[in-house]
Amino acid sequence: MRNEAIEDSLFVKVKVKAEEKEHIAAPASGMIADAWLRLRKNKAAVVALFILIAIILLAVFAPVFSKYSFSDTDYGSVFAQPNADHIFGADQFGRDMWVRIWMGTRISLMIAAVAAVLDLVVGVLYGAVSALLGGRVDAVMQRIIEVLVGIPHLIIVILFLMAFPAGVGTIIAALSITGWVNMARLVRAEILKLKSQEFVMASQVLGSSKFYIIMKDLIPNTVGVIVINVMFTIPNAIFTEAFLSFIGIGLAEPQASLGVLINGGYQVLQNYPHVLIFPAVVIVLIMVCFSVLGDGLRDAMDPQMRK
Amino acid sequence: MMTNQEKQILLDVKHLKKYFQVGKKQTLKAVDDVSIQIYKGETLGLVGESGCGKSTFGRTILHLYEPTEGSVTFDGITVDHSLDRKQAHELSRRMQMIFQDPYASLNPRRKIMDIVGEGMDAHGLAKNRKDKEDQVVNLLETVGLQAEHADRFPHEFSGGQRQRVGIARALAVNPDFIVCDEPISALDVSIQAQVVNLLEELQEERGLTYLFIAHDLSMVKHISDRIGVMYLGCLMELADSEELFENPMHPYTKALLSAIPIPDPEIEKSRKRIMLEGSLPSPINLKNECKFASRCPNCKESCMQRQPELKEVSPGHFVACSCIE
Ligand SMILES: Nc1ncnc2c1ncn2[C@@H]1O[C@H](COP(=O)(O)OP(=O)(O)OP(=O)(O)O)[C@@H](O)[C@H]1O
Ligand SMILES: [Mg+2]
Repeated sequence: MRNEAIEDSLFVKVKVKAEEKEHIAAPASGMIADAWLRLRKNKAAVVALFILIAIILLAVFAPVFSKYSFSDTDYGSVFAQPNADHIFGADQFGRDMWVRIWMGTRISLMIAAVAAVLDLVVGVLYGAVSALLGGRVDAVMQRIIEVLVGIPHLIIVILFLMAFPAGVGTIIAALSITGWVNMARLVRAEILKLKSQEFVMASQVLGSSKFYIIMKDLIPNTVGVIVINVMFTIPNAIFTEAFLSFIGIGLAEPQASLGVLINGGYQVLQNYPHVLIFPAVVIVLIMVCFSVLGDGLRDAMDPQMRK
Repeated sequence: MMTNQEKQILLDVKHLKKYFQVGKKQTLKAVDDVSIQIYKGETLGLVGESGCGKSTFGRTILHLYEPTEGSVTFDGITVDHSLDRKQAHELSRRMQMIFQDPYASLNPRRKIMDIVGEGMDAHGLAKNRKDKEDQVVNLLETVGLQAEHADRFPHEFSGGQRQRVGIARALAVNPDFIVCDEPISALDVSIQAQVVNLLEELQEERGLTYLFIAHDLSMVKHISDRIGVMYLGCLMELADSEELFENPMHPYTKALLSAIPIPDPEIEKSRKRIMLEGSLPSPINLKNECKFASRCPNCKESCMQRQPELKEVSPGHFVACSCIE
């Protein structure tokens, strides 16, 4: 048998020359500062962020500083066009649309906040525990999720709203039942994927503790998935509330939510389009901005996108 | 290289088995009764086709996987649950691993400083932050990287550089034994030689013992003192590197050797290639026959009885084939 194929002499020492050792010019920086730097470069995300901040500020302060309240009727200005007094005009009872829209935005943002917290706390914990413990615990937890996913979301919400008095509390409770399921599944899948990666194995071989592996290997690498999913959950929750109120089983008059307002405007669309247009624009802005910001955040948090 | 008298067993693997349960009733025998001894200071090459259980073997030795059966004894200490935490922790310092995929083996969200320093944190090897940084910089220079690389993220490096980071990470805890799981197969040919040289230098300087896994005989010939040939979870042949190349006995080894091209057209033309028929059978639910039976050119009746045991046919040359006495 000949075996001169690879001779020892072929393995000549290659001395790496100094100039071949490449230099990487960009300065190094910490994770959050780094993410912010990258987010700032993304124009669309920055614009979205500012619009959202403006909307939040308006929702908080506009009703406080207006001379009208959201339920004050004024039959002298029924369906008033936008003017100096009523910036966004008035509705069929002469109520000020400006105040009503920002009150409605408050409700939307409140629902968004609850949905986000639910996702981050229940969804992330549920998914992480399921993936980390594995075995029988994982199997049981997954069966529970399957049952929840099996029943259409809307049916649960509608049943809930029929059983309990309509109101913000009921809508939030209804969303809570299934709102976190998607996040739980995503986080579980991501952690399972990471657990078998070689760098996690490397940590195990090095003798790092489980806690260390969870904190340094698993969580930082799931942040991207978590952020992008929260940013999808939020507009979804806002839309669900608006939709329920629009079809008449969510919030009801005289309460103002964006869905209620759109419903009111829809009925008089032909004659007084401004009653529909303003709340519609606000809800579209909120949803689009959250999506754009979510995309930007995900990219910003990924060190591989670093330029 | 070493002489026969000073052979001292560092790692003693006895009847190691690792079965994976796939599906309800199916068992995948990834490692099936492998016994092998690795001597202090040597490099044992382990070759075999993709999927024959090389990585699983390496990982089971390091207790990343719980062995189904068998024992692993490292420097006189048997690795199992009877070890107390402190002993097990100390063992995890002494046995390290270099991984196959330089892209998957470094945490993308941590800087090189933290990646290389991780083992020092885990074993308290650095007195303080400054000491740790000095040690990491030293290690980076040892493996041919530079101090300023410590502040970078893994994706800023090439495959070869990442593999060097992986080597630095393993060295950080001063191990005695390193499993090199195909550390060069994902790299360009030109970089492969650099990494192999680095590993050899480190072995000389630090008296390391390697289990060097590869899927190609030509890759391990240069670096290995002894070579083991694996097929479907079993060790088929084990011999000194020279001996294996000059006097291969197992038909599978012969076939592997004949697949290495020879850089001389005259010899290459006239040489007889041993072609293996068929492809690697699935390792799930195998029968009791010799694992190689389905592709063996001289398979006999007796080969269908059981997987033959590894027998010493000449000093230091072991073969598992019932056709060889
Ligand atoms: N965690 C696991 N669960 C189930 N089967 C597994 C697992 N890990 C490996 N296997 C199977 O065990 C067999 C051996 O795999 P292993 O990764 O050890 O092969 P290998 O020799 O390292 O191959 P390669 O050269 O491609 O790295 C394969 O058939 C693989 O599918
Ligand atoms: Mg492998």
